[in-house]
Amino acid sequence: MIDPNNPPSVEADEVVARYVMQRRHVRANNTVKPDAFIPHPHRELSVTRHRGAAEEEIWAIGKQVAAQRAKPLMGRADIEVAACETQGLLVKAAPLPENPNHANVTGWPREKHEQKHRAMELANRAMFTQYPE
Amino acid sequence: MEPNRHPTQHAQPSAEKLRDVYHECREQDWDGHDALPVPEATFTNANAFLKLLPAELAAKADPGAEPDGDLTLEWYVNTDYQISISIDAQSCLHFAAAVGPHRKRRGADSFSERVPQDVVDIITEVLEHDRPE
Repeated sequence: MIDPNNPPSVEADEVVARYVMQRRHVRANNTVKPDAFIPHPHRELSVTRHRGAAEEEIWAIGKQVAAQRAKPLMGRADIEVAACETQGLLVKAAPLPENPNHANVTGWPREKHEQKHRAMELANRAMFTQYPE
Repeated sequence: MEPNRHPTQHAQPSAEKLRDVYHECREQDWDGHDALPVPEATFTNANAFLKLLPAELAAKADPGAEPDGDLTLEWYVNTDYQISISIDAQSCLHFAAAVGPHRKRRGADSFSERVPQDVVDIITEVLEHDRPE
């Protein structure tokens, strides 16, 4: 995992995960909907960096987040940072005590249809992985 | 990372699925990321929107919800042919669509007794590509 006291800046070739805890955000064919990437009520989209983390650690964080919210962890949508940057979005390291790999996708436009456009582009590039129970 | 390329499946009637989505998403934090509850007025409007659509289009809608409390209706063939429409409590529509590899559409509108024709046209164009690959 990343050193929370000295998190490296996020690189374009990194992959970040958006944890999915709502089954309606995943299509019947196991692809993810844009709905999962709409940044609300926060202005940033919360994600977890893969950098320096083993597969088991990435799932452990997701399971912890889901347990805190009493939600089932459906899986995670992985997206390359470069795909966010192509949409004019920024990914900034934002380590949390319980998740040193935490980051935020920022720079979202105010207009809902512009948010939807970007969320659709992210969903197009995302790879959904079901939680391996 | 390969983009999503799978047609949507339509096992459950759209109106029934919309009602299920509403019931699942009417409490705070339904997505585990602090989502706002879907208001009853939003469900009423989304249901009305679905009924105003031509039956063959309504039958292929895939309902969902967004963290700001809007309900969504999606028609998804693949990453190049898709539309996602958000409906809110004020009968406002916000949509993002792809109608070809390099043709993106997005915008906002409202509806009362009729669905905006350009929205119907986009849904129709998306579904024209809903054929087995």
